[in-house]
Amino acid sequence: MTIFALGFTLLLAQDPAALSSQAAAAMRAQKFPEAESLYRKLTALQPANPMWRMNLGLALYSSGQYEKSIPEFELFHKSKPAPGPTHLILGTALLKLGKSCPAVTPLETAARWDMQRSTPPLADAYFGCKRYALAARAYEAAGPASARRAAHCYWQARQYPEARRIFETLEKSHPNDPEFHYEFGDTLARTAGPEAALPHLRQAVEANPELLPARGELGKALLATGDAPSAIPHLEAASAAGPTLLLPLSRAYRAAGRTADADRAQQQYRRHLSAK
Amino acid sequence: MLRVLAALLAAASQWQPSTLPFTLHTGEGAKKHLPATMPGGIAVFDYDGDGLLDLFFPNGAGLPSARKSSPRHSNTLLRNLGNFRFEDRTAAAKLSGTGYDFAAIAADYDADGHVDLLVCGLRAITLYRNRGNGLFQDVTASSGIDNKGRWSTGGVWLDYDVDGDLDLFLLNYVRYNPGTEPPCKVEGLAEFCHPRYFDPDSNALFRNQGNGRFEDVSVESGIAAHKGKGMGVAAADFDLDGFPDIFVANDRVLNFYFHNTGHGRFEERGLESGLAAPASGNPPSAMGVDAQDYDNDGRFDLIYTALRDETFPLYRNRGADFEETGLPTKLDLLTRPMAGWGIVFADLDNDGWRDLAAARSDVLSINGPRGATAREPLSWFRNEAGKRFTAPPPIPVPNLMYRGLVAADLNNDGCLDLIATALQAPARLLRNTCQGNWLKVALPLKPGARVRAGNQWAHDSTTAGYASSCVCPLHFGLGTATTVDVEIHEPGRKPRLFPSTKANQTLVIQP
Repeated sequence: MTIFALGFTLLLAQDPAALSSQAAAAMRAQKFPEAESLYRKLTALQPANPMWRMNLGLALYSSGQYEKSIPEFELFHKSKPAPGPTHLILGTALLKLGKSCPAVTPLETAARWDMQRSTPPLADAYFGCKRYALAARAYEAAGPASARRAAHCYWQARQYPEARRIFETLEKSHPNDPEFHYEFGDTLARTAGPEAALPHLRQAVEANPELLPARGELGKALLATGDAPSAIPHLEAASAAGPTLLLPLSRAYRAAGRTADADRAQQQYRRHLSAK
Repeated sequence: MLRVLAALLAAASQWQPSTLPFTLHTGEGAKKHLPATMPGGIAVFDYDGDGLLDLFFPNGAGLPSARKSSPRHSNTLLRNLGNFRFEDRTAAAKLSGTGYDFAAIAADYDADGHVDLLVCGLRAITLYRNRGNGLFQDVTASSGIDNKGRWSTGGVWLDYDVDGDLDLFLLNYVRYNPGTEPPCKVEGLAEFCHPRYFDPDSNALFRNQGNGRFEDVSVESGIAAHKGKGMGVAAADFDLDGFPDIFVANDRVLNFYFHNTGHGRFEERGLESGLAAPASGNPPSAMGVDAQDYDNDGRFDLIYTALRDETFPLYRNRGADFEETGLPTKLDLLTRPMAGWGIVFADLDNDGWRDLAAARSDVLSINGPRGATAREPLSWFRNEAGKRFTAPPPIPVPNLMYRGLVAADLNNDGCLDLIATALQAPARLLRNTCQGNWLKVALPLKPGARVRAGNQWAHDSTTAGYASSCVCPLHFGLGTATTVDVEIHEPGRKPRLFPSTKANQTLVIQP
């Protein structure tokens, strides 16, 4: 709805010539194919007028033709580069097409026009582009509804103190979410040590024993706190997917007195690392 | 009472920063050639025998040519004039160099009483013999040391066969050809490539024949059989069997622990020793290394730097193997947000426990997409009785791309000062105005000895942290003690005892 409202706002701002009046009426009536046709005529008649490009882009966007709308907005921005709503619409179109990285620049430009409206899609663009540190800050700025995502992105960006700060505020709202407890536990392991991480890693594994990264972290935390026998089944399970865990598994076996198993795991680890 | 005294001593420790007349030029351009993020070693040694430690800085060059095409690329020798004044003596000493250089490892390899210099570079190493008259002579060709065009990031002088003269272990990084270097990008911008894009290379060992010539024994010693991506090396008699062993910190592949069998051979025992990788199993970006005894148990421990989220792994030597102690000492938590290069064990507050100092920064380009967060400060961590490390007030320096770091007493006041390099920036000097008594032990110029002062042990080594070296008297902080028993252990000799040695002096040991 926000995009439609923006579109109508922009339409009202343009020169009310006959064709454009019809096109604007078509847009208001959500007759987007008709509007598209009218704006194509206008761009043919007045190719130097960037407003027809913008409106054509809006019509295309509104009818779900995101790919086609992009060059129209880009042409419009060549003439009117000042930050504005069309940057937001262009960025949103790119996001809808899964083009997160190209969406970043128009959405950053849009944020200079309207920070509040642009921040959520900008956060999504950063996230999709794996620019996690920026995504985290954008999600955090977007408000409490995005806090979980912000924490996840801080964790992905390895900014553990920031992740921990947010995870701590979310603890009660995610009682049985294994991913949450895995990420929180992993964060605590890195910021407060393995003892602090154990309760969350245990919760993650209890909620989803198939969550192998959580089992790997739980195994490492148990080993680090001196409980090698308990660590072994978790490290055995997780090392199937993460062969670097063969090293802590080997150490856990050795600590538990299983020397032959330790030697075997160490050899497998060496082979795996040598292969890399 | 002792704690109060220690706290008072520690609180009084402070740093006076200044810059040195040397700027590290990396040759970084639009294309991110990997060597441009790697230089920055330092050699600290008394080249002119005047009792003051001088400084030598290897420098970069143009890239991809790897030639010193501009005077600003010159390696630099700074003569210590006293009172923290330095004079550039590079030209007079004939040490300006010609290629892209990273590391400088000093030692008196020919036992003539003058400290010589090995400079490690991208395409070649250069061995400079100190003639004792202020001049250095390039004797690379006549020495027989040929690194076969490999990229050397450092080395260590050690008497591996205990025959009385210094042999050379050369540390090599990756196989590098700028012509085939891929164009790596981060967030669409050019960035230095991850080491996985480059093949590993083998290290080399050269035996000193005692006549100025060296023999390549890399194959027969077992060293050549192991290819890695070496960025740091430390040699010490870790198992106290009388023969020096070698630890190699590799970049994102398993570290090497070359155990010296005593028969001219080394066996690689990284996994068996516990040093190949940290407990996570992920080989980190291991970089600078130092080996000393941080818990005063008489065995030499190890630390190396790595990148953010990898911590600076600390290993306690248990005799038969090594135990990771980053968690119990809290060093893991302190260093996890950090990226580091140079690192040294050094008693910076003279309390009798070796602290840690680190030259920090990321590997990424300061001009790249993450350049804003690549710069970091210098840091030091106080050793609390060998049990844990704490973070004292920060060292007052700007965030830069720090690389090499050496702790050395430049004004002979008994406090270890810090010298650090940073990419595209003047080198930094941190004058340490610490409190507490001290003792320095100046050994004959033949590394390998172990020295006990009271309950502290130190070993004489030519390497320090990343790409650096220090031919310096061994330093012991003594706290409030005014005398200390000293014991010198040299390979092949009976221990020498110096009971009730007075504090606050340099004890000169004759050969």
